[in-house]
Amino acid sequence: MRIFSQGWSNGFDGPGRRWVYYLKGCNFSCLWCGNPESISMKNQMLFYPEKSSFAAESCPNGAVLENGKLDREKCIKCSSCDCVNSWHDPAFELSGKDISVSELIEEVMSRRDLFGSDGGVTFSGGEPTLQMDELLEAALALKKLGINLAIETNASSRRFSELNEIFDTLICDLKCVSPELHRLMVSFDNQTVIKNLMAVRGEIIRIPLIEELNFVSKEQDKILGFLTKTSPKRVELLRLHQLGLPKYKALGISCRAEFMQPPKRKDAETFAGRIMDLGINCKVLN
Amino acid sequence: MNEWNKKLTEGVESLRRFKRNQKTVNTWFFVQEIKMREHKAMLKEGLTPDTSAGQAELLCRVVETMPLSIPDGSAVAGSQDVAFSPSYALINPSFKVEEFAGYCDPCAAYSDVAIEDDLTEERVETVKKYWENTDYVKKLYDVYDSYTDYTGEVAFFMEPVTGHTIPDLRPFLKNGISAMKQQALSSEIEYGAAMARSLEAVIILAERYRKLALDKAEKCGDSGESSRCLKIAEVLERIPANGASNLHEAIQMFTLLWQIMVLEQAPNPYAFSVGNLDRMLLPYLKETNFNEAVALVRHLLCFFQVGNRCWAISQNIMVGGRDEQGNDLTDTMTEVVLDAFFQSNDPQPALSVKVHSETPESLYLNMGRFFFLPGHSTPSLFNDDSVFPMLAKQGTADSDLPDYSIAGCQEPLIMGKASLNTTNTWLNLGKLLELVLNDGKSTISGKQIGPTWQELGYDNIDEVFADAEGAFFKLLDIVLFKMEAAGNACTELLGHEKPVPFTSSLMDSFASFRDMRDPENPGVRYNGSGCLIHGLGVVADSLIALKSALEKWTADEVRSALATDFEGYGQMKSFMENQPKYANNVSACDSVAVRIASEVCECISSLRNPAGRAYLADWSTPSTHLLYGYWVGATPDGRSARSMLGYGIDPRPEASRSELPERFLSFRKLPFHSMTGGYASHIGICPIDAELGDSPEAKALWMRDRIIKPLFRLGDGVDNAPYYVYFNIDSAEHLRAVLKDPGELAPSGVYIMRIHGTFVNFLDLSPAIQEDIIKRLEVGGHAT
Repeated sequence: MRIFSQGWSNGFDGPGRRWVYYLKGCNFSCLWCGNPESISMKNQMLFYPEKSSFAAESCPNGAVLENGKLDREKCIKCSSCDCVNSWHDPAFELSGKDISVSELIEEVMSRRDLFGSDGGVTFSGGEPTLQMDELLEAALALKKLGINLAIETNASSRRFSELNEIFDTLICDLKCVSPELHRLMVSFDNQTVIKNLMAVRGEIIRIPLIEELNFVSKEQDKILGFLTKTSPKRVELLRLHQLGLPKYKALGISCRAEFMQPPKRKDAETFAGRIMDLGINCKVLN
Repeated sequence: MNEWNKKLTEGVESLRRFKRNQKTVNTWFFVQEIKMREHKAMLKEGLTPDTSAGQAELLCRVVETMPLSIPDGSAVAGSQDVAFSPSYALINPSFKVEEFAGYCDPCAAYSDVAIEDDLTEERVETVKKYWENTDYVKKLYDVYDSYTDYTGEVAFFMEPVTGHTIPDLRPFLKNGISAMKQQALSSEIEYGAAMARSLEAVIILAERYRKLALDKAEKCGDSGESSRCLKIAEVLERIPANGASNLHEAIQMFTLLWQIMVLEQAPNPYAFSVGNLDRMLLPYLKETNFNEAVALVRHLLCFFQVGNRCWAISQNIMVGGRDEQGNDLTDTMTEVVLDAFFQSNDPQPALSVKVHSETPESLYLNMGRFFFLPGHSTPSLFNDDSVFPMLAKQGTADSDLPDYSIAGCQEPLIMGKASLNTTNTWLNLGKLLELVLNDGKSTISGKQIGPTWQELGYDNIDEVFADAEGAFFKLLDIVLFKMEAAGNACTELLGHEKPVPFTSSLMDSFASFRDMRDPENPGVRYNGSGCLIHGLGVVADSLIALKSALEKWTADEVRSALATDFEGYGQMKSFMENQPKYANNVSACDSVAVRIASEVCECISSLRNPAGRAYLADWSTPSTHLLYGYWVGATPDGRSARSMLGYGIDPRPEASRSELPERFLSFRKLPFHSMTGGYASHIGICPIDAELGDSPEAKALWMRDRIIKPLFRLGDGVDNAPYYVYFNIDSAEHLRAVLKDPGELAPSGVYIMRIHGTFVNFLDLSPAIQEDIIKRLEVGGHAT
């Protein structure tokens, strides 16, 4: 299984205190993605020259140019990653690490009693279902050990129904309902997503809110209409944030949503109120 | 609220105002002046004031004439101002890290006297000179002079330990002084007679207070004041001669005993602590209603406020806990004490709560209101399920385990039965590492302090650096030998020159009829000497980084970089800073820390005090991580010269890189049961990071389930679990705002934070200490 990060989360990625694996690779390409390093399955170097005065010296292969930029061609050809493995230079952050199921289980079990009565393990991404076989192998093994499991998914997998049987908590993204808008927002069709979300019960639906994309009144109505046909446990609204912008810069790519705006908090609250009027529990997360 | 409760509560508020506004406290000096006069008189009379019998007589004579008062609002007579001078180095706002010269000068307190009216400098100088010329002080200075090579830059430090005792007042509360005195006399042992005479001091003090109370009641026009004074006089008619028959009498008896105890060891006997106040007072609660009981305990808490600004002198009160079978011992009095603490929220005394796997939910719920209330005190916590087996391994009898109590910050002692000299020695591992990497020379001053490499058995620098850990332990062996001798010299001196028959009476001396301080044959069941150890994280991280650095630079280059505080070696410093560090759940690093901690504990516990008892490894740094860091040059973890060391077993703020649960996992690997003297550990929690309910109860359960249970491993059946923690729950931003606008954010003038075992008024701290607290919240505020 290839991950780009792992760490603790409290009450955000499922109930209680959770140990979260962020799996690398995503079939969506969301304009506003907060973790751009999660999209590619390949290992990538994030480069933050401002975090170190000695970045050039930390790369023995000379991939840091005189102008302070990273020569990614050179970087990608390097297999030692001395900058990370030996110098531990904060200018360099290697995104991508392979972890075996047995290693994962060992990590989890050493943390088990820190989960408390309601916490557990969450698989997030990226899109974790892109590595479905490894994901299910790890999840089944953890399930047998009594670990509470959650997954955060874009619900686009054709094997989505298999998740429902294993995971205690499903947190599914709903970017929008309109197919054209969905393609515009994430460069991917949403037919399977809609079908999967209609079929499942008791999941948490998480909706990103972006002014002028899915937070226009027409799309809001469509989302409300869609929600009436589903049976989620809760809907969570996540207003657009730009916390991921430094990562785009560190990857040497631009963020297409850099100048997009989140809706105002009170407008998001109003929308949450309309969802609650449908009898569905809803909260604004940020 | 009935009329009497109202008077008690009004009284305590008035008393708190008085205590808080008290600016100049010279009482302790007047007492020392009287003591000087009586000491001289006894010598003139052909008596021997420095023997046990002489000390008892001297104590009584001082109590006969020392200044006493009953401030407005008091419902209980008594004060500790007789024993404490106004400055306590760490808490004083004018304290400067670079000027700190140790705690151990017995005459330093005379510099604190506020010159006023007829209290002239000459008068102060006369008293100071008198005590300076006593054998005890002269010999003590000789001891200090013998070890200045090592103490000058605090490679180690030593002190004769006063205070740091947990008396057992229960037999006195139950039986009264007359019966206890009779018991002492019936021993027909000379020391028993000294104990008996010292106990008379309590009777003398009580009678003086009784007359004072009657006089004040007669003269004052206020009916509340008058009735409180009459009540004091009424209570003092029965006690202390007889045992207490109700809560008011028990509390009055408590303060009288305590006042004489601190007086006997004055000036400045820090860290006298109480133990389980709830269990001690429960037998006397009887018909006293809950609110009256709370008000009375609040009066008792006021007694612990000493000097100007009620500064911290490490007095600890405990509640909760279990018995040896695991049964919970929480009782109604636990609730009373918690309520009293919550209502008063004063900087002294400090509160600790004992928890265990069967601690009832109600106790956590009761504690909930303390947490997450900005500027409010929060209890430190102890894990009975880990402390009990640790103490049992040291030889503590099962029946004594529930009576373990905390002296000051975190050192566990058995109430009334243990004299452990907890702050006898202080060891600076960071300084030793500096010396071992620089041929025994200080990189701060250039002085040759420790043995050379050749004396350690190495031929050249490459050998030393390649075997840095081995060389470190070779040096440690040599230094510990000296530290042991220095510490023991202080212990012997104090024991031989300053017997304490009164305090011994509150300890085991009714069983032994020997002085608790007797260095060779102490009159207590449990004895030892403490060593407070600094620099675990710095040494572990340095050894890890040094190994990696030697793959890139020569040993000579590393030595030069450290000697010049990395001047011209920025890349090396950066490299060292960025290496993996202890306490982030990185096995390779944690294993080094575990090895260092285990071996140092073993070395310390192999030392012996004059009674042949073991030294206790105490990984506690009550803000001395700043002071000791100031004397440590640059270290291979990338730390700059004179920067702070890690606090207790915690990593330095700069080395703390992971979330709190990962730190828990690192800590769990440490050998807690070898840390026989205790350890310090701080958790900073930023309230906004935590997903909490709104109610205090929800917050309490969040603390239990997310922090306390997983850290202490309650219910896991794990033997070697962490057993101590304290919290500062606030954000760095908010604390900076409090400092900027105290009028708005701390209108009462009191904003309680914690330094280890003590509450402190954050506003009264020196800037260096304020910044230390803020810095540890900046990096440690992960509530995940």
